[in-house]
Amino acid sequence: MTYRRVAHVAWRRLGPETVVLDLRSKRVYALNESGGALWHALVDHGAAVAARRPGEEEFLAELVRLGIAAAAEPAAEAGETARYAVSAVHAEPPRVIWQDDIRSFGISCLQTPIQGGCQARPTT
Amino acid sequence: MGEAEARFDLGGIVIAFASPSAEWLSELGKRFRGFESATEPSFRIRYCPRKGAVAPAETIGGPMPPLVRPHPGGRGIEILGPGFAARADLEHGTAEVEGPAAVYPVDMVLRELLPALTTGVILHCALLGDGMATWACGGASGSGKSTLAALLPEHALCDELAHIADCDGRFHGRSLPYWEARPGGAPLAGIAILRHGAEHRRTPLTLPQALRALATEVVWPTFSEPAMERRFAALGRLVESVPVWQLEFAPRADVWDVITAVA
Repeated sequence: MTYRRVAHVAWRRLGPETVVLDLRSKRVYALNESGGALWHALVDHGAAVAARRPGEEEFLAELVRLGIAAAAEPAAEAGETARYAVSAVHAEPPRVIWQDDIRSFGISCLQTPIQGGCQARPTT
Repeated sequence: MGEAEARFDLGGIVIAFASPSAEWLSELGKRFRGFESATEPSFRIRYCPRKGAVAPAETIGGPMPPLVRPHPGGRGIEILGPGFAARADLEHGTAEVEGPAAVYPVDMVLRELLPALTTGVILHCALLGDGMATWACGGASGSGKSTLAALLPEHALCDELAHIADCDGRFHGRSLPYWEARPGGAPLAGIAILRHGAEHRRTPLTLPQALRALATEVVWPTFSEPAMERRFAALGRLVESVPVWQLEFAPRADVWDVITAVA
């Protein structure tokens, strides 16, 4: 099985983690270092990344379940899968280590003071 | 056209408000006092108070965010909230709002529009400053933003939302009129993620920790994927450029020394 990333995502590598924002579901995910390496292979090599190590198939399937990756068409990938560098320090299996819903932001911001919101407006 | 107009600078965007109701415009002036601008606006909002419409009572079970969706006519977006409806044409820089004779619809419409109109990010935070630098102190509801602003009134620029943007290669913080605010801004020296504590304690966050903490405190333009992508990129640049730390604080004004201490 080979995989590709979906189009409606943005991502950024920050230190050892990679953070992925699903622009459609408004959820954000943090991947550990080995998960990030696999993610960047998806990004760099398009639809030609296959699992090669323990835990990778499960991780890629998880990304598909989360909606930020998709299984690629088998016929398009015949004969060639990406070789991506995985450092020896990536001893930990790839995984999603954090996720949150960014729409959960700031509900207090919606309550204006006249609605008994996050704080009463003081008298001047 | 005969309608009065008032202009305000909100996060570097000058917005002109017009209304057939001079009384409504006067109330808006009180709401955004201090943020007036004489500069040519880049966005115009026309507000039409509906006769007989009343502001809704507090929502049952808590506030609901407005519904934002593409306008059925194909131009721009629709924002539907408690007692009001708005249509915004971002391409042409205009919006029309119908609602009761109250200003809360403008607050809710701006919360949706400003993240798309401005560069950088709009952050759920109290912004503190000393005239030379600013510090954004953010966190979820109840984390202490208003408490901190009340402890440091001489330094507090706003206690709910601030605009953080890259200007000439450096991030600047600028106050927005939510909810207790006065205009002001300066280069951003640091970002604190607040929590109440028995004593003051400042703990630096790693880049991933910083982005995680801030991602849920950014006001995202959720109706536009390209705009969200730009804000995400700006947030990444922000945490790479400005130190972020967790700040536990006791309710004492000497927290200012901890906030402004050089790392």
